Amino acid sequence: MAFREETIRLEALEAPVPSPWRRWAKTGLTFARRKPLGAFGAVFLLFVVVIAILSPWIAPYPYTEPHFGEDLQGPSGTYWFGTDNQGRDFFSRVLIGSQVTVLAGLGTVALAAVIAVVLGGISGYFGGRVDLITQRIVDMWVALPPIFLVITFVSVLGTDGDGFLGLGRGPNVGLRPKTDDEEIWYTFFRSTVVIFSLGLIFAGYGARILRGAVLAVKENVYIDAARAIGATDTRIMVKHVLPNIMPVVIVLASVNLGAAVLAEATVSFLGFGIKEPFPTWGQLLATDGRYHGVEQEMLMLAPGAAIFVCVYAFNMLGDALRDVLDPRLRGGR
Amino acid sequence: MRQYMVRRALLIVPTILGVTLLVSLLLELLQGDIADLIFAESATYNQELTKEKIEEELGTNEFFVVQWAEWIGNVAQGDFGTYFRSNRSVGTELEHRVPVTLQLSGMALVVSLLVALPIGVLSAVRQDTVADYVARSFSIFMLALPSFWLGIMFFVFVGRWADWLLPPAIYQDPWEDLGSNLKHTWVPAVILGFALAGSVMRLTRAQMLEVLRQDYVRTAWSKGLRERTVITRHAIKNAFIPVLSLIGVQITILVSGSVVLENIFSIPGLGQMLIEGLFQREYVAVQGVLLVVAMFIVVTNFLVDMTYSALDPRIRYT
Repeated sequence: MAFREETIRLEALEAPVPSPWRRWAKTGLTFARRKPLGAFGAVFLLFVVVIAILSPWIAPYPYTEPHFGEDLQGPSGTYWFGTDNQGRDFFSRVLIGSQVTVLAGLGTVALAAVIAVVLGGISGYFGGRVDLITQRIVDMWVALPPIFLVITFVSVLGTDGDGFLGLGRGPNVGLRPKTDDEEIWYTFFRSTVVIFSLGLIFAGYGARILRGAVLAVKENVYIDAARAIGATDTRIMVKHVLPNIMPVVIVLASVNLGAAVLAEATVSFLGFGIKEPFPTWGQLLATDGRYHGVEQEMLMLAPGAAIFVCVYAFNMLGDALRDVLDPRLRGGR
Repeated sequence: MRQYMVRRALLIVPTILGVTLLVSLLLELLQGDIADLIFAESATYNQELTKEKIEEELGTNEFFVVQWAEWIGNVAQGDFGTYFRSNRSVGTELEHRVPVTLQLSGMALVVSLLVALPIGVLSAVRQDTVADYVARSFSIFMLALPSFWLGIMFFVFVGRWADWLLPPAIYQDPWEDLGSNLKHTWVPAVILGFALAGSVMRLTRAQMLEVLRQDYVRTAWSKGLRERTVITRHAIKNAFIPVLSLIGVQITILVSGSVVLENIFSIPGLGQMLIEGLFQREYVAVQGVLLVVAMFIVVTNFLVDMTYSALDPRIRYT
């Protein structure tokens, strides 16, 4: 054993070792050449994340600042997207709205991936009775339309008061009005409720697919080999099964990203998500767009277009990653 | 096969029971229940009222499993309970609202199939042409377009340029005034249908492409059959079977989508009932809606699976 390792190392020394950065850059370039739209999606995702992080500094006006006598203005040099019915700069509000989109979108797919890996992994790996029970629960889960579950969940977990499991509990400021910073913290905690709900729901669908992936991986000889040398179940799952289902996990997460952003926007639109005065795109559409869109189309066009472009770009990224990493998942959704 | 069918059919019952129990648990955890709301509303002029009294009167002080068992027992006898506040019967409410949502979903499904199937087939037959490219971009666009945005844009722009197209103020049942009803529902049905059409079209195209490469299609070509015969008689039949199963999945999306569009177009369907029920903490109504919806979805999926095997004799469940 030791001898072999040494020979491999010698060979490795002779060959020019590309730095990991180089290798990543090369993979990225190949990806961009084969899937230009996918690369556009990836760049756009990065762009939106940067915008979301920097939005408090980029925004030309504070998002809550009313400009009296200048309500419902059209787009102009001063107010790029015009103003809403309280005279707040709409461009700033749309920019700030990207924060929730990014947080909820990425948070949801990350949480969903973790839960789906655990559920699907256990269900597929152990099989038998565990599998049967888990699958029945998942069956019930997917028997309800996602949006029904989400809004039930979000109202169950509560976006006010103490929340459930501490979710949605913001800083306690008493009766005085909150400052902008505190408002952001409130919004962050309220977003956890939305993320938790959406994450659980997406996990239900993911668990089914991952269970299938685990079942396929389990048939491989290296799993038998690992068991033969006495590896524990935990070790096999973490060291052998998990790395091999990783492509499926990444594909699932990226394919779901667009859907998660759309779901968050829908929840906000129906009035169950993040509350005024903190803006989210869905909520802007439901309030400004719906009631004042007739007077100023920008109030309706801007948030809708923002949602559309984001979902489109994220879907492109997801599709491209799926084609590259796991073409078997093609078709269906 | 028959055994499998019976087993699947029997599984419907525990699945639905499980769903309702799950919902009960969720509602039990809900922050602030009906008793809190009633207490807050009436405590100022009724000093003797306490939260416990209200709970006792409404029967919400029991453990949630007990409440659930009682409720499900009543449902089995056809009694869906009453609203806490107005004594309206949830059953009657559902009776009014289920057909509304069914009509909207049905119309949307028809629209989506009318759009997706021909375009999907065409885009596969003319693979890599301009038509294919346009159709594919269209389907990808439809997947990303939020239906509520389309709804709002409809109201703004159509309201400005063609206000005679706007839906009437009050929803009419189709048997009362068919014209008014259709005027109200055709736009949401089209929006919802197009939203669904995206994924149906993509699957139809993929399936057609696969089938077109099969030996029996080549045989059909080499017999000298016309293109139309090859496509309609040999290819389409086989390509549509997996599409059918997708429609089973779509039913959930359909019902979800109708929640949003009912909200925008103020159509009194199940979605509105659910949203109102949640806002006002009327759990019995929420339970009723979710029960009906879950039943609808589970039964549809069962039927789709069964039709699937009937259409493709190679598929045999055991």
